[in-house]
Amino acid sequence: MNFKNAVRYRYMSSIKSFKIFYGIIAALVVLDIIASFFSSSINSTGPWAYGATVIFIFVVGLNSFKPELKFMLQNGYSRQQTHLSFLCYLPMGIINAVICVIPTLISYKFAYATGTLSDYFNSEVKVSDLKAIFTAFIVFSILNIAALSLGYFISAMYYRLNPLGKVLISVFVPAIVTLVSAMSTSGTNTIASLIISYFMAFFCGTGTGYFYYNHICAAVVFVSAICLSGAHLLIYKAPVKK
Amino acid sequence: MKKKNIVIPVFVIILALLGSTFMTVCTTDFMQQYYVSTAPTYVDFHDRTAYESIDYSKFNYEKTRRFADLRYKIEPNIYSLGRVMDNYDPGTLVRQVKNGMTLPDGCYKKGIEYCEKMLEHDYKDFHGENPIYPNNDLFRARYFSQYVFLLYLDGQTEKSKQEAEKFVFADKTEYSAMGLISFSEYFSYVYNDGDPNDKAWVLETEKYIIEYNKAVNPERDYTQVFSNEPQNYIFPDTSKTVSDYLNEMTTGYYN
Repeated sequence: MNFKNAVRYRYMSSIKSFKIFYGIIAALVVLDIIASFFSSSINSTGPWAYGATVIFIFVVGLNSFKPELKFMLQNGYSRQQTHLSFLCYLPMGIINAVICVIPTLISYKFAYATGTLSDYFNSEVKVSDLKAIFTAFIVFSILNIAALSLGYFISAMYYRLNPLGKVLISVFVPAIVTLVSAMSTSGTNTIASLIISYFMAFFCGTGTGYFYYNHICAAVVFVSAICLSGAHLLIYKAPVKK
Repeated sequence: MKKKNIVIPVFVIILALLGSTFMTVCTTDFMQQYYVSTAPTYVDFHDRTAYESIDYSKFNYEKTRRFADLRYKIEPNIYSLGRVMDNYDPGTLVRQVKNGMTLPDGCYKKGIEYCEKMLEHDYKDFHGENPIYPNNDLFRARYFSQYVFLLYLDGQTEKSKQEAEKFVFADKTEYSAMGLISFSEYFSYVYNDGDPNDKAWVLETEKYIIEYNKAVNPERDYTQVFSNEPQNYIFPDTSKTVSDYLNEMTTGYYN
């Protein structure tokens, strides 16, 4: 079977959902720009668009395993080709970053022109437009790829688990995360605090609240590599479920 | 499953785990904090009992410096530079000296170098057309204070004095309340050997700095600066001049 068709199928099958999502984003950006003409309050556009896109692409990742696996196996593709076609689908994260950075930048520019941007963004946009855009693009692309990979891996893991395993994972993982978080914030448990600070150090480069973009990028690349390799191992013996 | 099929994903997972462990342990301040955790920088400095319980023999300055340098290579940005600077914090250094530790050669010079870089970078941002961080005076006050103090510890007493004068008299910067407090806090280390609980020196230092600021910009409403904690800004009526203060700051305690 032609591998190119498998990759094309992945892109084509997701186009409709991307059109709807970015239609909503574009509408919100336009509304935000209009509102900035009438409002003297601080403009809030920007971060929400990035956050919403990462969540959206995570959901796309979740939906990229089961239906595609069934479809491709039925059409004579191997499991390895199915996985490789997902790897070829990862540049969707970069395309998303481009689509999202542009309207956000337009919104910033309008807010800056109308004087409704907060002081912090105001000075940042003025000082280093190109640098800020480039950094946002790189970080956001990598975050998108990581979200896509994570969603795909979780979906693969759930596909392979038996019902009891699904229940245990669904209950215990959130419970442990909540517990550790609560214990560390209450300040009574040093092990919980250590886990949180290690986690923060891994993702942010420091436990003190600052964010280092190089660190965030490196951390999510490692997470993506683990997720993709994990999914690679899981897909080999994946049975065809009805 | 064919053996060759699992080789690549398993290899990638192992590589990613090793890489992420290396990154977390060696290039963040996680490990730095482990080595610096015995230093007062990371202790609540209002708690004297915490100071006294510190086991200085555990503090490995050389290892901390190596991690700090590695981190600076990977994250050469303003905040990272600031974090690296923390490992040359005068408060930390003074306590180590006081506790009889022999610091490695050149560690003060390294601290001075970081301070100079920080101040150069910071000055451009603060005085340039487009200040990036509007509240930068706090950082600036801190690094300038550290710079002066490190020069003194390095034996460059005259330069320390000149820089201190430049800091207090010639640096035409309006400092916020936090900036002013930062000056006095660091200068008070020199007088009181790191005991910021002794309010007297802090208050006197503030007085001199505020007087200087008033001379530079008499039109500014200084009541705004001290509106947060007015009880802390009742200054003793002292006959000392600013030069007296500077002389004491650079030569008084340690001689």
